[in-house]
Amino acid sequence: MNIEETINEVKEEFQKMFAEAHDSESLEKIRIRFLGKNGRVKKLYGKMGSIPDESKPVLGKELNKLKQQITRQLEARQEIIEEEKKKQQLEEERIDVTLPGTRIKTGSQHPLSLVTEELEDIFISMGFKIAEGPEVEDEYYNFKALNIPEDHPARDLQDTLYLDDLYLLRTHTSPVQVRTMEKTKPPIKIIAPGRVYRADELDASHSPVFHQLEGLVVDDKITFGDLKGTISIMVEQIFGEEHSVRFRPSYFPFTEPSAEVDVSCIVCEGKGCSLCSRTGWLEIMGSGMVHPKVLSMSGIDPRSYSGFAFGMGIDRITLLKYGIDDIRLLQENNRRFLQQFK
Amino acid sequence: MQISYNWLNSYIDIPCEPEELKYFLTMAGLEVEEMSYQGEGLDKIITGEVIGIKDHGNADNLKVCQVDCGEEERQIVCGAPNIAENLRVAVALPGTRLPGGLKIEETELRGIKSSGMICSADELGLKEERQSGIMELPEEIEAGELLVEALLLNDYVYKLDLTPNYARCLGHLGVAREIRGLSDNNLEINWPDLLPEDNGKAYQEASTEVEIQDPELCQRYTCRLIEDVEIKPSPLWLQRRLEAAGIRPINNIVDITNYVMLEYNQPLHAFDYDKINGRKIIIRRANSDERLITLDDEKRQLTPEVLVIADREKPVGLAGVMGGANTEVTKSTNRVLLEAASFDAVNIRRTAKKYALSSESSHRFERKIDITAVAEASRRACYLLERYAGGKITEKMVDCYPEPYEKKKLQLEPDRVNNLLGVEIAGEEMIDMLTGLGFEANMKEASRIAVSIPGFRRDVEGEADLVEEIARVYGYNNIPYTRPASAEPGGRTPEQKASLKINRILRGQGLEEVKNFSLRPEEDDLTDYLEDYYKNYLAVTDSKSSSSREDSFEDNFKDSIVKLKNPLSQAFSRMRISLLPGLIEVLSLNSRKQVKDMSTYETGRVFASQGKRNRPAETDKIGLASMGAAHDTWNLSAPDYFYLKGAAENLLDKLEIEAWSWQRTKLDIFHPGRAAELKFKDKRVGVLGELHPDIIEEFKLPVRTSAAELDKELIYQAAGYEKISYQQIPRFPSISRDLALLIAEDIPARDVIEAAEEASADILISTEIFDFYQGEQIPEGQKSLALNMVFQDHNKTLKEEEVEKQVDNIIEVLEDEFQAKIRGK
Ligand SMILES: [Zn+2]
Repeated sequence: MNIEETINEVKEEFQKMFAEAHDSESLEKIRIRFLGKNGRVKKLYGKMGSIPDESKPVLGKELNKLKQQITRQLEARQEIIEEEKKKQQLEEERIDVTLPGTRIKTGSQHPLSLVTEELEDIFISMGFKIAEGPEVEDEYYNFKALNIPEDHPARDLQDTLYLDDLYLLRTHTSPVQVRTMEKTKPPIKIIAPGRVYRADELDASHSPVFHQLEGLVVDDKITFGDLKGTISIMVEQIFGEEHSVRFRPSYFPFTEPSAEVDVSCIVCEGKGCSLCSRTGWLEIMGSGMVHPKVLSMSGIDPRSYSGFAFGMGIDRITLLKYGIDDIRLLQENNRRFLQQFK
Repeated sequence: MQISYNWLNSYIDIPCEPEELKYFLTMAGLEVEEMSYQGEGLDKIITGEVIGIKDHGNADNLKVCQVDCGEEERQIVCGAPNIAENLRVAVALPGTRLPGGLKIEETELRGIKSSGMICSADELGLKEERQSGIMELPEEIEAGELLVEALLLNDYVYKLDLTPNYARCLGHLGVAREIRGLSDNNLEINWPDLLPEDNGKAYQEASTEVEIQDPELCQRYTCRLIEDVEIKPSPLWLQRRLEAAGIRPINNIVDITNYVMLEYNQPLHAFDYDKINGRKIIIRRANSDERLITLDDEKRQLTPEVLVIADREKPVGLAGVMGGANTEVTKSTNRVLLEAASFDAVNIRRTAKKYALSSESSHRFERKIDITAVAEASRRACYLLERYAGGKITEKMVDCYPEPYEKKKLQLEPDRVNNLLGVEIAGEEMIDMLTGLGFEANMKEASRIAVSIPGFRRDVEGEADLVEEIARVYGYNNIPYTRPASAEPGGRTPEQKASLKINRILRGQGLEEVKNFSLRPEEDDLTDYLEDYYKNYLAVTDSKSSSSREDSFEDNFKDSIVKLKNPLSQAFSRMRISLLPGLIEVLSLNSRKQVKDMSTYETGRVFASQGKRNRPAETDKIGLASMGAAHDTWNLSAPDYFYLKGAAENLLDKLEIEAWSWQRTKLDIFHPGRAAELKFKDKRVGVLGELHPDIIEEFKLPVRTSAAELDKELIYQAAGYEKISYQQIPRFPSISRDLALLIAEDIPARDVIEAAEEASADILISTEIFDFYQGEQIPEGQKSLALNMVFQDHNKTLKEEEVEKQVDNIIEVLEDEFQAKIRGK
């Protein structure tokens, strides 16, 4: 038999078998049958010795071509099969992608500290530093140094909780003003957030324990206009630019001129509702130019320096900002309340 | 203070409508708390005169009335017992609605047509309580008039919330002055009519003698005799004005004294002259054996601190606060002695406080009245007493005024005013502003205004007060918005930043922030549990730490609690000494509200006494608490304990605190076998533990609820995160070895780790326990621990033999020290 014919036979046989092979096992069988140690191709190589020398190169070439073709075809199909297999496997790994995500438990921030931090950041951006002071104060820092003499009707403005004849719980954060002025030379630009106490019964709008944020600016050319500018920025930032502020004369013993600061009602926008007692405005803080007596008592010459101060209730601002209608919620610590603040 | 629009309008032509006046006053510093219309809902009610009455016929208690309603006569059926012919009545015509909401219709009552309704005072909202009959109107009223006009109810009332420096506005004339000063219109005040002045010979010398024994407490005292007074109701207009101001009319004498007080802000008092002994008034301090029954029928024990008005034998009034019942004006009074005086503000305030007796009079004296207007107010009252009480005045006024008021003089520099306000107002303009408010102001030199302060502005003490006046007239809202320059950037101190960081870390651990009151009940169910905690952990003095700790704490726990002297209620009567009780209550509250798991933290201040007359210590603490945690890492049924311990350890780690350790401790508040203390070297920083089962039961908490309290200041001091410097990432591989050992169960895991670390050279870079087991297959009294150790050398690749050598070392030490058995070996 002619070796060339044999090559063709092998070729045909391979193609026939290959056409029916559709999985890795059949392909492997074919590979062994044709390319294995005792495979058909190998055998053909063995017959190379029995052919004339001049035909050897041509046949050798043919044989190599055959081997390569078989290999290529087997490999190509194997690849397709594997591709298919992979695809199928991925298909099987399909999941319900809408099942809930795995959530790591995260804590919440109390609304009071949320608002305090926000206020602090607003003032820090305007160049303020944060000052602190004790919650237990004495008569001097809480009253006298703030120009609130004994037996003055101004004492009626706040009911004080006393510890004994010497000490009391600060009724406002204003003592921090005094403490700061005593130990700092102007320029001074501080805020002092903190806890304060009053002899008030606990109800929906009053609390014996609440929080204030005090501000104090002292320098050589501080004006009432500076007070207005500073406060209006804070109001814009915390309530939004659409709210207007107004300043009206008021009285605080430690400031003169004094001003009450109102913001246009966040509910009715000035039309009048129950929140603003039909005035269209909400009182949010007291403010004014630091009283010259207060400056000089703390060792600052009122002829050379002037300043402004302001004080607001953090609790009140928190209630207004989030529309909370009962101050007691701020100390009840009900989880369903706490988790609303993010 | 309540003011009436119509009353005010009688002194000054109010430049705006009632609604605008509310805004005007508020922006002038006289905050209007409430504004109301006196005739609310009554605008359509008219007056009528009953001109004929017939019986109904079908109903005994009904009458058929013919009522003259001005333009027409109407037939109205009425069932009131006091209906009578010629009576002036209030009529609601068909189609009107009463203040209560009832709509009146043309109707038939038992077959007889009734076109309207005759009203009672309560139906009109003029009286609160139900009236037995219809309202009887004064005879002088003409039929057909609108009721609000006939009864002078077409008026607006403003309730002012006046700050102490606006005392001058406690009278209508003071408010009129404000309007004059702040309005752009050139307004003049129509001053009220007065009794003519005493000069001339119209009046005889006074027969009453006045002696001021304490001129410090009474700077001026006037009195005047008025004879032949006839006690009767005041005229309607006067009653109406008092009512508008919130004061109940009594009789003409009392009403007139109140009326003048509401005009001039000068409290007046009328004594029944015939009850005063010996024609003499003495203003003196009381004796401690004296008593006085005041007009409110209370018997007052007097003391020498109290100033009284007395006759020759007895006190007849608490000076400036309230008159005495013994000289009260009654129906039979014939002669009155009218007092107008000025008393010391502080003394009046103390007396009013002492007797818890704040009166219209004391309220005004406490805030200083206009001492220069005392006589004028008296003459005003005399004028009214002559007209409306038939009084005859033949004597002069006694005016005891030892040191007449001298107008205070102040200087104002326009430049300084402009610099303080951030405006540019000319000096001349400032003079106009001050003059309009009633000050005398003149340009002295080019840059100085001389201002003299009138008696009604004794609140003005210095330059700053005048600056406020200029700002008020200029308008606060006309001052431009500017901002102060900042020489330095703003920001937080490192400690304040650390505080935020601590909060963030704790929230990141899944803890929710809570805020508890620092006021607590005197005794609560947790107090007793805190005693040993206080002694061993709270009352620790450390001279090296912050200044608040230099003083000494009380030895006795109960003495260490800071109590309030004047608590409002038992519930808030002392300061908290620890955050733990508050946190326990928070979990308890939520547990009762069906919250199953919750973990919380609080950063806050606690207080402890440092002895009488010493300032209490204030310390910032971090409190943690957890209930219902799910993951029980060591299968020791202690999920909350180890959750909090992990949170605390993460906190210490993130703050880069070195050399911390936990040791077993025992405290009443915790489970005896489940509590640890946190130490930095030998400093006690805090405690952590499972709550004592008794507490868990009492507070209805889930089992295993745990809590911790750490000292925030000590933690901040030990924090090193700000000094972190980068360490090169190791270039050589590490080798990891696990070791399982059996040891006696009472050996703390911490000791095992420490021993391992000590036994090995520097190349042991971490030792962790990754498994813990007790139970089956482990001998009684033993536990199994699995240790993971990581070895690494920063300079070279470690050889297996080196590591083996180290591991053998460690094994040897563990066997020696703890009789540990190495498993699988
Ligand atoms: Zn509103």
